[in-house]
Amino acid sequence: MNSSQVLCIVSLLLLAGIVTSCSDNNDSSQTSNVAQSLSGNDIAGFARAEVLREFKFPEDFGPHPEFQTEWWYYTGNLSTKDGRDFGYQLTFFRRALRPDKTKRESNWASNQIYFAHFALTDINSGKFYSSERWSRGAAGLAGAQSSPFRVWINNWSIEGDHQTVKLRADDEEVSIELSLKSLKPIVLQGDKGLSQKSSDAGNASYYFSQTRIDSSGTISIEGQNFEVSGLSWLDREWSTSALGENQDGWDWFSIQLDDGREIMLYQLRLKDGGIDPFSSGSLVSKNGKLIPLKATDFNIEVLDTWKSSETGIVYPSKWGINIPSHNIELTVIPLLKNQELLQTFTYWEGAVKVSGKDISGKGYVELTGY
Amino acid sequence: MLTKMNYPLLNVTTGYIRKHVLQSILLLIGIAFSVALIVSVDIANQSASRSFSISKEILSTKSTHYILGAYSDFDEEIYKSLKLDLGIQNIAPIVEDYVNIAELEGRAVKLLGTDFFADLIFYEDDHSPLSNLTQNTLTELITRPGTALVSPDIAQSAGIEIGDTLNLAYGSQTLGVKIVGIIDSQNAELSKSLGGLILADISTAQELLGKVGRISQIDLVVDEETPEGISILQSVRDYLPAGVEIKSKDLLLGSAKNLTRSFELNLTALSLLALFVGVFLIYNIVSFSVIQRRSIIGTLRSIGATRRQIFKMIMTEALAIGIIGSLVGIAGGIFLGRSIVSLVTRSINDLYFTLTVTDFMVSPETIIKGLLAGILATLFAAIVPAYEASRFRPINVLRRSSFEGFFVKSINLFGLIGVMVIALGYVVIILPTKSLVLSLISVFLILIGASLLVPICTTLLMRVFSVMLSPMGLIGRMSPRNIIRSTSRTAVAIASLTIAISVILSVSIMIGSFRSTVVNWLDSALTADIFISMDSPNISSQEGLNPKILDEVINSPGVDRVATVRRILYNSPDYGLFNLVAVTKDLATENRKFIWREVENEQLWDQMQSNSVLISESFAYRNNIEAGSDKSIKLQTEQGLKEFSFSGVYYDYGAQAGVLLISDKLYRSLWQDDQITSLGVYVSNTYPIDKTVGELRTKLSKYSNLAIRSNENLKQSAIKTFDRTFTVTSALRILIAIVAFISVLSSLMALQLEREKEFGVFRAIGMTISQLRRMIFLENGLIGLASGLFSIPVGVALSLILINVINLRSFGWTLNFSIEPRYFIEAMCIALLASLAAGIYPAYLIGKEDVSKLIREE
Repeated sequence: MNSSQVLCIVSLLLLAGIVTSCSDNNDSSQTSNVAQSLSGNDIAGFARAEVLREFKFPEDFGPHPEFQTEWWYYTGNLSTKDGRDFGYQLTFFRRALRPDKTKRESNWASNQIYFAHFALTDINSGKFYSSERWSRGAAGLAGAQSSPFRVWINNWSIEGDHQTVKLRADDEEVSIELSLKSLKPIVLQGDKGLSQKSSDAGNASYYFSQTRIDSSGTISIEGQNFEVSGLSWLDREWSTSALGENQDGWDWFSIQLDDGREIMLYQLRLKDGGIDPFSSGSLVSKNGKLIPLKATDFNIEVLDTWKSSETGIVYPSKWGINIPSHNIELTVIPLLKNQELLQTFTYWEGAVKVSGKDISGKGYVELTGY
Repeated sequence: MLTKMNYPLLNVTTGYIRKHVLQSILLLIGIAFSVALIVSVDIANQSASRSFSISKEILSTKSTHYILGAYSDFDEEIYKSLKLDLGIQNIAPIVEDYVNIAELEGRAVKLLGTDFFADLIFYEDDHSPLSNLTQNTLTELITRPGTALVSPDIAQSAGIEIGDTLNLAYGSQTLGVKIVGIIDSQNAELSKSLGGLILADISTAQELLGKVGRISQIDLVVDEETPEGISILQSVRDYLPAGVEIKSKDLLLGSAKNLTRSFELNLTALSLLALFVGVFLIYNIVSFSVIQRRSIIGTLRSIGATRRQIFKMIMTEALAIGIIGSLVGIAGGIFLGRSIVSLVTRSINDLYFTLTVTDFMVSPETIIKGLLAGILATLFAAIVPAYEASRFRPINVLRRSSFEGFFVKSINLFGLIGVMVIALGYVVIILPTKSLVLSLISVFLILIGASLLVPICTTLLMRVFSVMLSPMGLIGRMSPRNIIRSTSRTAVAIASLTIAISVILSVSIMIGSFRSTVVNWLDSALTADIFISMDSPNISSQEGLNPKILDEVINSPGVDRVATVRRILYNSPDYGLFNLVAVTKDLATENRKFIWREVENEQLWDQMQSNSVLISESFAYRNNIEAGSDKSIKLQTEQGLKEFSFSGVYYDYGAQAGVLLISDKLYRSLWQDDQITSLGVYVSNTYPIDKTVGELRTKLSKYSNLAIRSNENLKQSAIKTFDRTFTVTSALRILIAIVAFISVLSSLMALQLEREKEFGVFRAIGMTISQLRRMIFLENGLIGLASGLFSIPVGVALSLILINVINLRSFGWTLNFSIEPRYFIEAMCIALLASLAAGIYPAYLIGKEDVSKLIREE
């Protein structure tokens, strides 16, 4: 059984040229990752995030097919009444194969592909579950729409209006069904929602977030149901070619502090080992006000690493985060070391706990390109 | 065996073989031919079966179940619901139909559209045919209409490259498909299956095949052994609307394969008959080799060789030649197999279903079968002569008559046993069963019985000849008596020739009867003057003519009225796969011949309007529907499940799957189907038919792939198809004739050669060379004549079994027994030719031998 072959096919479908080596005994497809997949080269004909735009809601919860790539990224930390903790990730991606859409008779005709990742971390038992779905965005099998708001692949879905939504996903052993209600207004990341990812014009995305979403519902693991509640975070982003040639991947942090503030940071790593100056972040105040953070405003130090026994990849596994201008000093520790998604793309995305002087919280970290 | 043998014995063997190369070669050829036939037929059967699997399973090697419509494609929403509402993941949709590649003389392939995302789970991961494609190719395939992938084989044969357009005939249209990539797989089987396929995105397939909104099949991977699997299957069954069913792949493929099983079994039986004839041949030659070495075997015995050693010596010789002959036969069989495979697959395409892939495969089992058949037949045939040799006593070795005496004494007993075996064979036939294997066994019983009867019949016949030929003088009286004198071998030669000729004769009669039945049937079934259908239609395709053609035809000059035929394949849970054929009145009952019917032809049509159908004989036979049966059939229509009664069973020699004939009006009211498979045009009496054909051809030239044929023309092409179906049978018949020919040639030649001392004596007492030659030819001629005469009753009896039992059990067809004199003339000619040819070499030798040398030993 050579699962890398399967991965290759899908990668080929999606990766616009970056992953070239797909030979049999090569781990390249294992290490091909979201960052790579989203570094398309054939971007001719697609719209690009070059100028500031006016965001409209709920329209912008829906898809923007004129852009090549788009995602709806839900993560969250949940627990039962008696203190059993879980982390979850449910992410839908849209990818356009071609900017133009020919008018066709068949309902199956489409230039859009959807894929989704669903991960569940059962912290107390130390288990991590992940799965994915793929589909063409056609024939009712997968798609996205703004009104009523719905993003779905087969029976995985996000549905509702943009303030309150229902998330549904399942796999062989686990399932999740959550009701989400945002506790804060939408915040526009970067420069009023335009998030520059490198110095090249257009290498940017439109990016907004819901940073504190009240979440409750049911998690089911191997036939056992858990009533859970907690906080979720949504990132909405769309773009055409968001990474520069010299960029390797990113580390992304979403932190919900117990004092009602949230921090988002991403660090774009360069191939030469440095950090791209276009790395940035934000701090959201208790009342929902966003304070942008530049690369120079924060410092992330890796304090520990973890080596995956599955892939051999070494990931950072403990961080010290320092935001001197806001007097924030945090230590970030994964709630479970192994939260590596071994799907078509391999990356690490997991629930973390955060602690600092008189401060604590929870969050999610995404590590790509390792 | 060889290693344990004494050297003197080994020398006897090798010395003999050296001196009698011709006999050894004939033996070798005989064994080789018999084995070659077995091997080639086995290869053909296995290859056909594998071609079927590869053609049907195509890419979904992992799928365990199919969801299929009872008679057509179904709503694509069903797939969406399974995925979204039932949350079933391991499913993939398929939209497909058979098309013909214009660039490759109409080669049938499947245009198969699938959802590449869904299908990822179905490929054997190591060999995904998509893994070598570039991202650009896949993007083109998914997003550009009218694009497809082909195998290297199709690309090469059609001489096309990426970017070129391939033309596919489909119904009365030609589809241009742009080839955006070449697909292949390292997996040999998958690679082969790709050769029968044009792969497209599901959207493209829907658009090209005019199936927007419909899908042909859903593949599933479900483990039936697990509780989850069972519950998934149950939930799917509960969900599926009426007329759409989930079926296990193994069951589905199995039941389709069963259709061709009879066909394959018949071929196997023919190849076994060849072996049967071969056994006689081996017996003759081995036994002759023993007789020729009487003196040396006697000497060996007198110097102390044991009986056991002599027995072993003869058996070892036979074994050695058996092995070599079998090996040569296997090689020949593989060579021959290629042609037989193509004949067999063509017949399957004509009769059963469209095979898009022709596989040629030689399995180890085939080779082992061939080797075993050759060796066992040789050993079996050699036992009697070897035993005979081991019984030689040093004293009487010079006399053949010791064994002959025993044989002559036993011919009455043989005859008695023969009668009993034939009686047993008859009992087996009349057993109330539909077993094909049993009927084939009875054929063999009758042949064995007939061979056992040959010695006594030969003796009697030769006595008659001896009287009849006495006016010819000495030679006329001597020849028949010579034959009687050496019955132990002449009888075997006559028996083997009789068997071979009977088989040839019976197959000729069977094919002839079949042909005349079909010709008669065509005369009554094809009543219209002109027929319009698709050119080279695929038996498995449902696609019909453009419905607009009907109007154009009706409004053509000279056209009086037009009848329509709509044929679809229907898959019923109770009655299996059959053709549902809707016809208008003109083609329904008028000239149709019935096995039984509820009312007269004139009233049948009215009866058919009220949920009643007619069925073909093969349908009735397969489903045990007897005259006046009150059985009925439930069919899934667009109006729901409807029940139909049977008002008659008619003779039909068309599609083997069987036909259910329904009134067109009833069909169109129950099924929303406006397609037409073919048209029957009735021309006004005053208008010349040929002119109408010409005019229709001009008028309809804008539709491609149309075949517009006059009644006569269509009959001829139907008969051509029929003849094609029997090409393989005819070919096997000829091969059996060759084995028989060699058998007779070798045994009769041996018989004559053995008599050189006798000839020496005849010469010494004053017979001339030409008298001796006349005697040789006369004797051989008598043997040929006897075989020819004996084969008449045996052949006719066999043909009756073939026609009335085997054919009926295999295909469900009743054939009219019809005999033509030429079959008998043919049979007699082969018998005489073979036996006379066998005299040539001995007659030639007679002139060369020195009399004194011939009788010196005396």
